[in-house]
Amino acid sequence: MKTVSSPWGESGCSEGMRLEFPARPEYVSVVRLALSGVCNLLQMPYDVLEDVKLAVAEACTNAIRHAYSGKDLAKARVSIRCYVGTEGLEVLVEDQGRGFDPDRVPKFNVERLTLKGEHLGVGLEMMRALMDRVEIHSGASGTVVHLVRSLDRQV
Amino acid sequence: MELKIETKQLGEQMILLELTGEMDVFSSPVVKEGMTQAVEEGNHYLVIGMGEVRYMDSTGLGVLMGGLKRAREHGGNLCLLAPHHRVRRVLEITNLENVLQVYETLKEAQEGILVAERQGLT
Repeated sequence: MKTVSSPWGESGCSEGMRLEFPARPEYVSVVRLALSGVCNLLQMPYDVLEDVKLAVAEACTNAIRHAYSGKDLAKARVSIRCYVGTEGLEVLVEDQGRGFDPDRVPKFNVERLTLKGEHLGVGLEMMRALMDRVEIHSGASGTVVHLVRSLDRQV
Repeated sequence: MELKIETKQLGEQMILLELTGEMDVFSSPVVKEGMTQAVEEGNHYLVIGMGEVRYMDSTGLGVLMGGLKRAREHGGNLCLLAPHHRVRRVLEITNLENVLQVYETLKEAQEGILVAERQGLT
């Protein structure tokens, strides 16, 4: 594995970066900007950086669109944490919303998308294609999407 | 980032919507409105200029697919003009490269959009 020193020092896992933002669409571009900075610190190639930005933005978008509703919306927040772990860059996208069963998200299907204009599951499918590992932990108190991208893998 | 749309009439029912910016969950509704208005005004052939769009997420993709569906409901079509390689990457990982037609020049787009086969859409 390529050796890349953590921009947060030797104790990278415990430090890293944390960003919390209102669960509103206009903040997704702020997340992308912050991630660009982190990926630049790690000297990631442009296309790898863009893959990571897109995958994390998809996770944020899902949280904003699906995690909260009604009276929860005003106070709803999403947070991301990222650090360099043993497998590469790891990003956790967290919300305190209603949760969902990842196994019940319909698999993305081109036919359904084209015929009915539905796009449920596309974001999840994209995350899986762009990252090396995607894990979703979801329950009544919220969801954590754990995204990992190796620092070795090219596009 | 703000998303701008410039329009140019290409023919009786054909319009170019030239996009500049990033297509995400916040900005993509602007494109949806632009395409809806174009179709309602009788422009059933939509050429979407993507050369200045460096970022597109699943929301942007959904908006383009919605525009294609709407255009075809009116007997028309939609194609992408000169998309950046990051937009192509999104088409590639979602297997939509063969659904959303892509052309590199305006001339090719104007010709191709009229003879397109209906792939997967009725």
